[in-house]
Amino acid sequence: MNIIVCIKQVPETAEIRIDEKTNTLVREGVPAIINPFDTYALEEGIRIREKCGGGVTVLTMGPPQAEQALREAIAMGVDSGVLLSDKAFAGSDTLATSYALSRAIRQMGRFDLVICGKQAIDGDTAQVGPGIAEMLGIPFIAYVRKIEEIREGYIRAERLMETGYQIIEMSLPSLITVVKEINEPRLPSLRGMLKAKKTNISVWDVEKLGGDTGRFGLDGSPTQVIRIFTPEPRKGGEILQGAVEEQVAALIERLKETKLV
Amino acid sequence: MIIKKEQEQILNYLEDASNLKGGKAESVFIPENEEEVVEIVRECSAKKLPLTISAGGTGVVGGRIPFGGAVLSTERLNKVIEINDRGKYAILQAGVVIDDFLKELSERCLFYPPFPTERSAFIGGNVATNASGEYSFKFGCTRRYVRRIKVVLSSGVVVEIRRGEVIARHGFLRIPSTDIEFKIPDYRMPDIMKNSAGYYSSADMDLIDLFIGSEGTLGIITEVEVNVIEQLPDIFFCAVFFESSQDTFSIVRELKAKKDILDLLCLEYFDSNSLYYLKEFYPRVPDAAEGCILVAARMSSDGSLDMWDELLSKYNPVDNWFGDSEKHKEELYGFRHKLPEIVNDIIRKNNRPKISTDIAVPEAKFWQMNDFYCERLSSSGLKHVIFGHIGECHLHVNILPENEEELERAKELYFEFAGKGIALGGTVSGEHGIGKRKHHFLKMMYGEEGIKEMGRIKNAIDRNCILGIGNIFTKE
Repeated sequence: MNIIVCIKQVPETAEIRIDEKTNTLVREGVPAIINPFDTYALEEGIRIREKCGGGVTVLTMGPPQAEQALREAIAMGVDSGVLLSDKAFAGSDTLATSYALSRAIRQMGRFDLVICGKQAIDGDTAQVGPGIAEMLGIPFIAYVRKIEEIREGYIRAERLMETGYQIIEMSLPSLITVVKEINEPRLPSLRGMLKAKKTNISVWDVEKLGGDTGRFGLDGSPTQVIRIFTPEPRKGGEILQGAVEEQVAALIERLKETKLV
Repeated sequence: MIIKKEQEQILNYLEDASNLKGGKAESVFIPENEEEVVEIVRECSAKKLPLTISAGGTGVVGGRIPFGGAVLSTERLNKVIEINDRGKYAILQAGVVIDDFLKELSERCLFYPPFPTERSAFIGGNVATNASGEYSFKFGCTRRYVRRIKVVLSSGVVVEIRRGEVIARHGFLRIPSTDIEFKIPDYRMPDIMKNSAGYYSSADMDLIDLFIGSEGTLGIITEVEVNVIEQLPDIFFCAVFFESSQDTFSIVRELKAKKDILDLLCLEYFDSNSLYYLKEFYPRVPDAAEGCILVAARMSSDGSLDMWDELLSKYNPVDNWFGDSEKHKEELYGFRHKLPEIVNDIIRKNNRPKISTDIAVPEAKFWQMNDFYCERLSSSGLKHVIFGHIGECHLHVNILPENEEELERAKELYFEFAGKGIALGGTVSGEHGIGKRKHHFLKMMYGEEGIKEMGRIKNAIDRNCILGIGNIFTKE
């Protein structure tokens, strides 16, 4: 079974800094990690290969340093990695990213299953996985929490819902996005680390992907980011003082002022 | 100074990680400076009121649990007075929390090698108990890093002791600027990597070493000066699982022989029972595994991982878990620390005390000791785990008795193990100390006369006999 896992390198911090001029993430000085949701996708890909045979390829798009994320995935047990890196990809929104990744997947030849994490912790859009499936014209299941059965041309999976779960059958090739309930990602192994250090990572540019050049990068991104900002932390509120009667009176006054009553 | 007298407010100070019950105190003093410490000590001395010193509460032998009298907590003596980058030392008040200290050091690319596993511990408590830590295989115990201490004696006198300044002469030690002089003990300590049993003793001993590890029975440490080193880059952790305990022990032998070449910081062991209990929480523990080691080492060069791979593959490992990122290292660290937690949970469910040994023996006798554990435990049929610091010849045997009869047999076994450990030239306490739990083992180790010698020192220094009552010595 040929499996492709799409991952994203993200900053390892909850306190993301934003460049106010370019409305992009400041990456300097922030350690980068594999998007935590994608580690579940990697683990599931490796588990399917362990059960069904075949190979797992990890795919990412990003600046040259995103290669490190691919090497980490290889250390976990993935077979090979492909990095899409080209100035032409810069400024991609989720649509352009889905397009680039779907073009890359087409270039890889026959595949059975594409696995993505449910979303990235920096953008939180959850659009790229389904976007890739649409562009490849294959079916997908988002928010998979368990694969009940997988074999040549067939998958049956549990999809997490707000009030329970659905069991969905689907033909292969197809795409799933996974939630963290699905597994416990493994640690790298020593052999994996050695392999990761020695493996050649293929770097593909825009030319290699072919397709419509107008759909990559900023040109292919209809999303316009007007402003990104960190919201002001909520203020501490006001505690009314005095006797109960005074407090009640003050509260009524305040509610009237704000036209809440 | 804060003084707490309400029982509700002092409950915290009546317990530590030992689970020892029955602690009681009439008040807790929380001084903010050395003068206040002196004031408290003078007052207690005058009233002959027992005074127990309280640090972070991470000890496992009840050292800080008072059984009457007052408590002096060093929690507000928590200033880092100086970190000297060039001289590679730090001066700290006794109540500095290790975790805070490590963070401050890390900002300056410095490191404190003997840091204990429980990072909520206080530096003063670490010095008072000669604590050891995660990397003691490489760096040894706290003692080695202490350059100077300031101690308030029970008379109220403040003494500053710098290493190398007061050495025993003709078998006697004298505490400067006091009239206190005493004979050093005749017993000699075992020649092993770690020992936390009783007062330090050697022919040319330094006064500072008597106070280090004295478990709060001789004075109140208010300030310490410790050595620090440059931060260690490129450390990785690796847990390796083996098909047989023989393979596990064989690789341990080879790793010990190559400790320096491999730049090993830590070498820990889990037996098959430990893995059985861990598997419930870590399903990825291989079914076939009969033994496991956890190492921490420096990745000194590009080729060092190849060297590790070659070495491991000689011993048929079934799996290994590698971590060099902070996140993965934390996961592996969590794996190591899960085991004592699991054991404590079982003990709580069984409602029987944990029988947990702390015996360390000399390198040359380690395998003999290990065979003895395995043989006696397997013939006993008692549920147990063996794990811990195999690098330092210091395994913990935890027996999990399920009823009174089993508890009795477990206790007997512990005595057998302690006897064997002593006969092989080891110690009854590698790191936990004696506290209020292990007096009888200390007596087995140094004999009645050894305890009396320690007692004479105690009485010479703490004349009113108020400090750390119940620690090392029984009340009498």
